[in-house]
Amino acid sequence: MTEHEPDQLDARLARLDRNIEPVRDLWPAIAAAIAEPVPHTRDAGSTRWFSSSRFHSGRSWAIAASLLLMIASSAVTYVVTQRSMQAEVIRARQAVAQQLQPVLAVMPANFGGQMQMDAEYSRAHAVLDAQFAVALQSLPVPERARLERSVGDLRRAARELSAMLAEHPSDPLLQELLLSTYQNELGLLARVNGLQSATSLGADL
Amino acid sequence: MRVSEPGSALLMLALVLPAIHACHAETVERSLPADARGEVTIVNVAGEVSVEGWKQAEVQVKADLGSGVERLVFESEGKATVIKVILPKGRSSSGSSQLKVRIPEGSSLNINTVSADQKITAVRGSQRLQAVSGDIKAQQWGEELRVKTISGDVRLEGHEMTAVTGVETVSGDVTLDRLAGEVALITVTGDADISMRELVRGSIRTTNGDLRLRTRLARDARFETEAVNGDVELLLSGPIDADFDIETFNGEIDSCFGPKPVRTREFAPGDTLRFKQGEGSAKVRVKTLNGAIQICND
Amino acid sequence: MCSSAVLEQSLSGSDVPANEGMLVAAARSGDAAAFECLYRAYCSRVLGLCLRMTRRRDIAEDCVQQTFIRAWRSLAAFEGRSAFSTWLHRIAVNEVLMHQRNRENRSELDHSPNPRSERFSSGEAGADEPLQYQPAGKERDAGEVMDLERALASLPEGSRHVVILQAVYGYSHEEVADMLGIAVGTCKAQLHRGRKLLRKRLGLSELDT
Repeated sequence: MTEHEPDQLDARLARLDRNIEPVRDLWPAIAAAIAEPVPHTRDAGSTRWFSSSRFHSGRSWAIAASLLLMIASSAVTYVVTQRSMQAEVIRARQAVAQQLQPVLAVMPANFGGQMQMDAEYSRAHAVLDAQFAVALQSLPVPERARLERSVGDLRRAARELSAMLAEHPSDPLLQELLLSTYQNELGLLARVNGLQSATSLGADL
Repeated sequence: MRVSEPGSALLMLALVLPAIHACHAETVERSLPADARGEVTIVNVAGEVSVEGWKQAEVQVKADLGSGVERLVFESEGKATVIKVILPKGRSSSGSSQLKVRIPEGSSLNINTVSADQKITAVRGSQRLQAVSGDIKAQQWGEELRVKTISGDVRLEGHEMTAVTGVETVSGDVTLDRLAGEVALITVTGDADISMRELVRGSIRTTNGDLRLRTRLARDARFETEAVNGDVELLLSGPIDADFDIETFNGEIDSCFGPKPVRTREFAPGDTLRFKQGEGSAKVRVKTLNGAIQICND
Repeated sequence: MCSSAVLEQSLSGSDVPANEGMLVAAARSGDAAAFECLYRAYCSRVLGLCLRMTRRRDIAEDCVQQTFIRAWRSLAAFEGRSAFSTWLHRIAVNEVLMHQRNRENRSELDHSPNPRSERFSSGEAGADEPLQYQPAGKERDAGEVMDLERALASLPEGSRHVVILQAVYGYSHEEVADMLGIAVGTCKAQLHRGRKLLRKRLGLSELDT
C-alpha cells in the first residue's frame, strides 16, 4: 500500500486526545474481581481467530460443494506437490475452475457452511509442513524469521478469506482467491524444501 | 590441461584445490576452457556470487574463500562446468565466500545459493537462479530466465527482447524492467514493479504487496493477476484491444477508459468492471480481495 | 505512592508514570495498591481506545474492566519487551474483538439493524448517533474535533479499528496487524480506505496538506 505523506487529516487524527476520562470509577469492580480466586482464563493478549460457520438450509448443496472442493483440492495437491512449475499450476487452476463452474452457476446464493479441504490435501500439507519445519532450522536466523513471517502472512490471508467466504459462500472471487492462496502456501513449502535439498550445507550435489 | 573434445565422455578434467583447513582463508584464481554455449553451474552457501559473460571460450574463477570452507570444486565435463563451494558436513554457514566468475556469454547458467547475493551481467544464455536469501540482480537477454528465491529483492533488467521470465519469491520487492514476452511472478510479501515493451502472456500472483505493470498488450495477449492485499495499477500504452474482467472484493476500481465500475455485492464494498475495448482480442483479468485497482493509458 | 506518581505523570505531561517499573514489579508480586496506581495512570487511555473501537460506553467500560482484570492475572507474562501501555492495549483490543465475536454469535442487536451491514456498509450507520463521550480540546477546536470523532465513529468496523490504532494511537502496520489478527496488507488496505472515507466525510481533498 502506498504510504501517504503526512497531511492535514493525519495531523488532525494524531492530535485527537488519546485519553477519555471515565464518568464513573471503574476500579471497585476490578478490585473485587482481582481479589477473588483466579478462575481458568485464556492467555492475555492472545489472538483468537474468528471463523464463522453459519449453516443455512440446503444440506445437499453443502455436500455437493464439499465434494467439489475435495476434487479441487486434490488437483491442487497433486500438481503442487509433484512439481512447482508455473505452467502446471496454471493448468491445474484451469482444470479446477472448469470443475467448479457448472455447480457454481446453479448454487443458491445463500449457500453457507464452512468448507473443509479434503484428507489428501491435509495429509500433503502436514508432510510438507513437517519438512518445512526441518528446513527452517537449517536457515540462518534472520532468514528464518522472515520466512516465518511470510508464511504467517499467507496463512492469515487464507484465514481472512475463509472467514469472508463463510459469510459469502457463493462468491466465486473469494473461492478463487482462497484456492489460489492454498496453492501458494503448498508451493512455498515445497519450494523451501526443494531449495534446501539443493544447497544443503556440507553436502555435495 | 585441456578439456577433451565434446563427446569424449571418458576423459574428465578435474581441478580440485587442496583441502583447506578451517580458520585459513584463501584467495584462488583458476581458469578452464569451456564451450561457447555450454552450461555453467555455481553453488555457494554464503557470501556473494558475481557472474559476468565474456567473449572468451573459458570459465574463470576468482574466489575469496572464507575460513571454514573445506574446498572449492571447479571441474568440467563435456559442455558442463561446475563451481561449488564445499563446507564440512555438519558445519553451520560460517564459510562465506565471494566468487567472481566469468563465463562464455552464450552459456546457460544455474546458480544455487543459500545466503548470498547474486549479480549476473552479460550472460546471454538461459538462466536459473535460486537462492534462499540474498538479493538477485540479473539481465534478460532474450533467453529463458527463471528466478526462485525466498527472501531478498529481485531486480531483472531486460533489453526489450521477447523472452520468458519467471520469478518465484516469498519476501522481497521485485523490479522487472524493460522485459518483453512472457512473465510469470508469484510472491507473498513485497511490491512488484514491472515494465515491459510488450506483454504476450502474463500471470502474477501476490498476497501482500502492490503491483504496478506498465506495458503494451500484444494482440491476443493473455494477462491475469490475483492479489489478496494490495493495490494493482495497470498502465497500458499503444492502442488497447482487450477484454477486461476486473474485480475487487473490498476496494475501488478506477479506470481511465471504458464504463464506470459497478458494485455487485449487497453487503460488500467492492467493485466490478467488465468491458471490451476495441475488438477485445487480448484478455485482461485482475482480481483482488483488499485493494484498489487502477487502469489507465500510459 | 499512587497519587504522587499520577500527579508527577500529569505535571510532566508524560504518558508514563515516573515509577512505572516499580509499580509493575510490585503489582506482579501481588500488591493490589500498586496495580491500582497503574489503573489510575492508564484507564483513561484504555477507555479512549475501547470507546472509539466499540462506539458504546457501556461496552467500552466493560472492556476496560476486563482488560485490567486480565492484565492483573497475566502480569507474570509481561516481560517488559514492549511498553506497559502497549501490552495493555493489546489486551484491550482482544477484549473488544472477543466482545464483538460473542455479540455476532448471539445475534445481539446493535445500533445497526444488521451486524453484516455494519461491517460492510458504506459506514453511514452510527454517523448520526450522538457521540457517547465528550472529546477534549480547546473551545475553538471543539467543533472540529467533534466532526472528526463523529466521522471516525461512522467508519466501517475494519477501517475504524485500523485508523484508530494506527493514526490515533500511533502503532505501526505490523503492530496493528498483529493486534487485530489480520495481514499487514489488509491493514494497509483498511487504513487507505478509512482515510479516503474520512476525507470525503470531512470535505477534505486528497491533496490537503
